[in-house]
Amino acid sequence: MKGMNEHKKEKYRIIGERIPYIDAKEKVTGRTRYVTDIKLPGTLVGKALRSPYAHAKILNIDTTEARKVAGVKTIITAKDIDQQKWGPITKDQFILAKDKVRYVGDEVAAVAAMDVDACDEALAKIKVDYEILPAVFSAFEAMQPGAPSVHDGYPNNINQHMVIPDRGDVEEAFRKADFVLEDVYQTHYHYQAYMEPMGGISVWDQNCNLTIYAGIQTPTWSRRDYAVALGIPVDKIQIIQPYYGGSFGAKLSQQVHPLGAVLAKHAVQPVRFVLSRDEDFQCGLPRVPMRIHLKTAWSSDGSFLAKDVYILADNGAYSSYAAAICSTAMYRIDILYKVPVLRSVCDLVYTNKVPTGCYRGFGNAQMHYALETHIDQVGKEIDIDPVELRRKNLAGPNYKNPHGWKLNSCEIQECLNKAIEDSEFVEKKKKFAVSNAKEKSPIKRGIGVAVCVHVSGNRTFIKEFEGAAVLIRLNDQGRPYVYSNEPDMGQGIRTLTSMCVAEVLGFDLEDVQVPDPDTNVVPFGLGIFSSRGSYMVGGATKNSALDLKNKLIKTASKLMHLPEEELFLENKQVVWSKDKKKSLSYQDISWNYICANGGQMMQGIGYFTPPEDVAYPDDKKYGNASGGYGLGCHIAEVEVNTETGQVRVPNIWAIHDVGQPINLLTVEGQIDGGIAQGYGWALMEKMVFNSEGKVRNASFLDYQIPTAGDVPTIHSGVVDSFEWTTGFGSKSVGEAALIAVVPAIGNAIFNATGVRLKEIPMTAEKVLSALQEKKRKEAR
Amino acid sequence: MKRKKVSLKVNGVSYVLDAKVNSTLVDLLRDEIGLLGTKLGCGEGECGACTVLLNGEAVTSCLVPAIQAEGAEILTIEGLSDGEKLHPIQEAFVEAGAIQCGFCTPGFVMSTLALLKKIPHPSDDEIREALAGNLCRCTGYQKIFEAVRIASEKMASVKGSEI
Repeated sequence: MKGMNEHKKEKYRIIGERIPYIDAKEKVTGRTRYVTDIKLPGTLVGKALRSPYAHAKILNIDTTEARKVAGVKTIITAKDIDQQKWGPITKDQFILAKDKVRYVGDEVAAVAAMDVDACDEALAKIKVDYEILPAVFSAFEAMQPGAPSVHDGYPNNINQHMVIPDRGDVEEAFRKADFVLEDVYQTHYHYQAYMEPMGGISVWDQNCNLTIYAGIQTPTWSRRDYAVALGIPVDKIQIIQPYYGGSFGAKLSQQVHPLGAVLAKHAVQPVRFVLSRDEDFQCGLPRVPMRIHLKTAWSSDGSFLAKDVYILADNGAYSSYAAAICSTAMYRIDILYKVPVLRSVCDLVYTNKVPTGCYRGFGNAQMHYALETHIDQVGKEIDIDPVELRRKNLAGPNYKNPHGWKLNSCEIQECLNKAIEDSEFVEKKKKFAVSNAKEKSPIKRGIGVAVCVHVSGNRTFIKEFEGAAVLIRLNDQGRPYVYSNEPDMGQGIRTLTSMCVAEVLGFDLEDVQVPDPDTNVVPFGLGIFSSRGSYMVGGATKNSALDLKNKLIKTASKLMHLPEEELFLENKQVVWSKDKKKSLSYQDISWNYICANGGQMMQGIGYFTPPEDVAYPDDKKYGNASGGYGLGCHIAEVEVNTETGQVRVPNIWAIHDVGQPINLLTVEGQIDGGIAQGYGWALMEKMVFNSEGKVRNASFLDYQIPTAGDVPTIHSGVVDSFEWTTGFGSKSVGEAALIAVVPAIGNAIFNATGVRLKEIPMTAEKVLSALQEKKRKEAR
Repeated sequence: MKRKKVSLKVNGVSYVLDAKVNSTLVDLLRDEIGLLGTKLGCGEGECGACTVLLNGEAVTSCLVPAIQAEGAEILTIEGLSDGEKLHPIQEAFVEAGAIQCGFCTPGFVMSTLALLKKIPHPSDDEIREALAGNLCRCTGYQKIFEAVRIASEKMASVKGSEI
C-alpha cells in the first residue's frame, strides 16, 4: 500500500448526501435487540457485592447464609476463582478484590441466581469483615510523603510520570519572550451517561470456549485484555456485539465482562451481568480529571513562541486507559497552532476513587479547555483580538509540528470564518458591549469562540498496528454482506459502510446488509475509538468494494466473452459499454461464481492503513499520530444572570472540517451530540464524592445531564474540504464536536461579565462567587 | 416474593398475569409479556426510556407498580405501527435523523405521541417542555425537535393517524 494514499475528490452518487440511518426503522419500532434485551435459554442473573469502603483490608468473607437463599446457584469470591490482574495498560485490577478493596464499589463477591430478588437477598447476606485503611481522594495529596498507598509498587501513588522530550530550548524561549502567561485549569470527574448501562451475557461451552454478548467498542481487541483477566487463551473468547445503547468511550475493555464470564463459568449456565444505573455511576469509567498548569510565551506581535505544560491527573483506583489519555492531553493539541518550542510533563496518580477511563475527547478535551481559555486571556493581556490571535498562529495544510505530526488537509481558517459569519460574532460582540453597559437588567450577554483539532485514528494508542479491514461477501442472490470489527454504537458506522459499498458497486442502500460484529467471523480489527470510523473504515470499505468490483468485472468478462476494459457497472449489472443490451446481473454473476467454485462466495477484501509517515512514536515520542486531523470552530452565545450566576446558552455554532462528509445527516448528528455533551460538561456535570469517597450523585436526579429543556439551539455546519490520504476524503468529527464548546462557553461568560472561570463545570454558584469577588476587588 | 393477579390490555391484547407485588409495569412488559421495545435506562423514572401510555397518559413504566396496572390500557412502542407501515411520528423520527443509538427512542416517540394528542401544533417551547423528562445523550435533541415538527405536520395531513 506504500505510496497509495493519494486520492482525488470525485463526483459521488450518494456520498455527501443526507441519508437516514439505515437501522432507524428497527429502532423506532422497538424491534432492535440491545445487549440488555438478550436472554439466552437458561440465563441466570449475575450481580456483584461491592465494597462500601474506599480503602480496606478484606479479613474474611462469609457466604454461608447467602448460599442458603433459594434460587441462588453460585457465589464466588477471590478465593474461589483463578484470576490474574488485568488492565489495558497497567495490569492492576483483579476481577474480584483479593486482600483489599481500593474504592467504594470495588467488587468483592458475585452471585448468580435465578432472579434478581434471589440475587439481592444473597448479596445482603454475605458477611465481609473489613479493616478500614486510611484513604486518599486527591491526586495532589496522594503524591505527598506518607500518603496512603493505593497499590504496592507505586511510590507516591504515581502510576506513571510522563515526559515528552523538550522540543527546542524552553528556558531560552521564555527568557526571550515579550509576554508570558501562567495559569492553572481544573476539570473533574465527568460521566458518559450512555442510556444503556454497561453489561454483557456470558456463556461457556463444554470445551471452555467463552461467548460474550457485549456492549463494547473494541470486540476483537478487548479479547486480549479479558484473556489475561481470565487466564485463558485469547482464541477461547468470542465476542458478539449486538446493538447497544451508547458508549462515548466508556465501553472499551470493562470489568463487567470478565466478571460476568467467571460467574457464568462457575454457575455452568449463561449469566446476564448488567449494571444498575447507580452501579454504572459508581463503577463505570468516567473522564480523567486533570489539573493543568499552563505557561505560554508570546512575542508582542502575538506570535505563539512556546508552551510549557504540567498535568496532574487523578487516575482513580485502577488504571484503565488513563495513561494514554494523559499522553494525549500532553501534546495532541500541538497540531492546532504553530508553536516551535514545547514542553510537557504529567503525573498520573492513583486515588481511592472510581477508576477513570476514556470519554469522547480522550484527554484532548481537558487540554482544549485549558489552552483555548488561556489564549483568550493572552489576547486580553497583550491587547490583540482573540480571533486574530488564533488566526495568526493556527496551523495550515501540510504543517509538520515539532513532534513529527503532519497535517494534510486543514481548513481551520475557513471554519473560523464561517462560524464568525454565521453567528454574526463581530456585530454581536459590539452590540452586547453596548447593551450590557447601558441596560440595568441583571442579564448580561456575551459571545465566545474556541477552535479544536482531533485525530482520525490515533497511531500512538496501540503499538502493533493501525488500520481497518473490511470483508464484503456476495451471497447466492448477489446481495452484499459487510463484515468489519467496527461496532455501531449509534454513531452510524453501519450506515457509513453501507453507503460506501452502495457508492462503489451501485447497490441500493437497502440491499446492503451489515451483520452484528462477531469476533469469530469479522476480520481482525481494533474497533471504534479515536474518531477512526469515517477515515479508516471509509477507506477500507472503499478498497474492499473496489476489489469486489474488480472480481465482478473479471468474472463477467469470462462469462460474457468480452474484454474487461469494455465492461462497467450499472443498475446492479455488469454492462458492455459498446452495447448496453449485453449485460449480466450481479445475481447471475454471483451464482455462476458460486457454482464454478464449489460454493465459495465472491468476496471483496480490502483494508486501509494510514500514510507511511504515520508511525508509532519512537523513544523520543516522535512520530505522526494520524493521517487525518479533523478540525472545528465553536462559538457560544450566553446570557448570564449576574444576580444568580445562572448561565443560559441560547445558541451555539459549530463549524467543522470533516474532509468530504460521507453522510451529512450523521455528521450533523455527531456535532449536535458532541456539543450537547460539552455544554453539560461546561456548565452542569461533575461527579461529587463524599468525605468517605462514595459518589454522592449516582443517579440522573442528582447528576443532571442536558435535557430537551435546557440544551442550546445548535447551528452545525461543515466547510468544503477533502482529505487526500483516504478513499472518500473523509475525516473525523465525533470527538472534536465535544471539545471546543467548553472553552467557547467560558470565553463567552468572560465576554459578558468580565469574570474568568478556570474550573469546570462553571456552575451558577461559581459564576456568582466570581462575580462577587470581582465586585469586591473593584470596590477596593 | 408474593404474587398477585393483574389483568390489563397492552396494545389491544388482553393479558392476565401473576405479577410479583414488588414488580413494576416495565417488568411486566419486558419480562412477562416479552415486549422488549420499552427500555429500562435507570429504574428511577429519571431517563424516560421506559415511557408508555397508560390510559392515554405518558408514564414512566419503571415507576408504576405492576399491581396498579390492573384494568389499564397500555400502549407501547410496538403498538404504534400498522404492520410494516410506520406511524407518522415514527416516520418523522427516521427522516429527521433523530435516532442514534436508539435506546431512548421508544420513550421519546411515546412522549411525542402524548404531546401531539394534547397539542397538535406545539411551539418550540412546548416541544422542549414536553420532552424534558426524556434523556438522550447521543443526538443533542436538535433532530428530535425537528422530528416532532415534521410529525405534527404529517399527522395534520394524514387522516386517522391519531391513536
